[in-house]
Amino acid sequence: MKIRKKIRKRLSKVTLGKIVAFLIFAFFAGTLVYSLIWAVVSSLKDPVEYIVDKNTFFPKEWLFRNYIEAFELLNVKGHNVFEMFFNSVWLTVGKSLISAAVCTTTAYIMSKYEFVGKKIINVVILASMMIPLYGSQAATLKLYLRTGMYNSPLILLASASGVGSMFLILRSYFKGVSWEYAEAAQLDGASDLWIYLKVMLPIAKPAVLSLFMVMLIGGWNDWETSVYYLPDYPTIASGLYLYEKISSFNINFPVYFAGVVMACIPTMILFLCFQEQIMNSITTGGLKG
Amino acid sequence: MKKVNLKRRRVIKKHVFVYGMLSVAILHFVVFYVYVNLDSFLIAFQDQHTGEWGLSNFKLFFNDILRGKDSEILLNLRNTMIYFIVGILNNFISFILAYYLYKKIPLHSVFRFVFVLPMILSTVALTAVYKNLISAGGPGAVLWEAVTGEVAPNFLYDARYATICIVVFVIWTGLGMNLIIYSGAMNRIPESVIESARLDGVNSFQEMWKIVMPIIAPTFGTTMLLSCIGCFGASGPILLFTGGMYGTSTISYWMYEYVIVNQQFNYAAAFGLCLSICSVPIVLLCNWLINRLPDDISY
Repeated sequence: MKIRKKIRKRLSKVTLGKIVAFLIFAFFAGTLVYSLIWAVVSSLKDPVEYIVDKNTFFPKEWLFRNYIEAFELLNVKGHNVFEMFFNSVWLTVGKSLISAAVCTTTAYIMSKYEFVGKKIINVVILASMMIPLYGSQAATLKLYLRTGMYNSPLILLASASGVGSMFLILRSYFKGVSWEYAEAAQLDGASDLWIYLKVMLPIAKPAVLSLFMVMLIGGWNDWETSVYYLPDYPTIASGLYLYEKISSFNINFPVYFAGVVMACIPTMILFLCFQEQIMNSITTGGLKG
Repeated sequence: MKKVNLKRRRVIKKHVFVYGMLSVAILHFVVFYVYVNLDSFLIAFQDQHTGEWGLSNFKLFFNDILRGKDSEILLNLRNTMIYFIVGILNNFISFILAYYLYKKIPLHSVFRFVFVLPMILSTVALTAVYKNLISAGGPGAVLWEAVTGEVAPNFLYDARYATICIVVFVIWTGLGMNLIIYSGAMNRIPESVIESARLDGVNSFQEMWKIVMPIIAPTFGTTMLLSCIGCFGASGPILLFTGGMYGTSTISYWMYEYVIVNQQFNYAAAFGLCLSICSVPIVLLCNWLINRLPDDISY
């Protein structure tokens, strides 16, 4: 009797909406997981076997040497996978560091100081985010070409922007940090810079770090910067695209998939290690930008 | 006298510090935003070949539109609007679906983990996988043959299917992002609000539409506003999929081709200027619509 009541209670909670939503989620998640496993299995197949049968999940032989071959075969205009990984690392870390530093500083000043011109700056920030301006890509490339930033590590300078979603998140974060800590330090004769570096930054460290993690992921996956502006510095993301484009029909698919899987490993590790922080950053501000 | 001087010095010192700290951001803004956009405005009025000032770029632009069915720009606009509308629909659907994720349906934490994956993994990698999934002999093609009983077409090399395939990819990889954002916003609703509503005898349908949705409407509004602002920039990863062929080109892909590949800066700038002017009423309309949403609910 009791069990039946329990089941009925459970069933009464099941609504049509819940069933539909569950089915959508299951389909969506199922296809995603299936595709990822499919890619990993494909990367371990023999090239001929892959072409004959793309759908078996049990290749005749698990060819782990595809991953070693990827380092020789995935070659774009004389740049091998080692070089691509190296380019990915400096571009990602450089961009994220510069961007995080400038964003944090700007957010701190804009939330904690009253000064002449603050209102104007706030209006300008809001306007620049609200007014869509298209077509500036042309003038941007012109600027890059003229200043020598095109096809050069100097491109990192372009990421020194103080605005964007990270600025907004950190500004509201700093607004919530009590100024009393700073006042105490001021009484001890600390300078403004010292307060920022030694008092405020350590307090904001968790927030900044989790945003930094998200930036690293975004930077690693960014293929546009390299394809558009750094033709001689292929990253692992842009390199895979270029390799596929260059080899068109002679492509060794399993080796190519080995490259695809390798490109995903660093961000995957980062995500698994800092899952909570990254999830928090995503839910508050999104990943892009 | 001395006191006033001291105070003044302190104010000056503070301003030196503030502007010193902001200098990099301000410099960046002046160069990469003000200068770039001014230059973009100017070169729009300069002829691509002769360098003469005038409206020749705009003439080219209108001539293309007047070609009607053969117009490149109209095709780009059509495709861009498809991605824009899909983005808006995506927002709505994930807004509703997020409620169920928040209500902890079975396996919700597994779903949450899987839905974040497209954001963690590289777009290039996801594109590579998706492309081959639907290529001849791949699982997508096999499924197609099983359902329709016909040989699967070359989806990405066929103007009838190419754009649809990219749209499906955009939904497939993009739905999770909004879901996570919205269900995250819902998770921040204090439990007491939901509980007291339950005590008042609110059913789950009412709870969804009358309580949860209005509370997270500001988040929804912001996301919508951002998609409206970027309406002409909406696009799938066209370059990765088809390189603009088979009728898949969008405005942002077209820009890429004109700027990065052909380096025809002036025409691209003129086109961009027209788009910016066109988007002003769209943004104002969206802003007006979104302001009608409930805002700033305190709880």
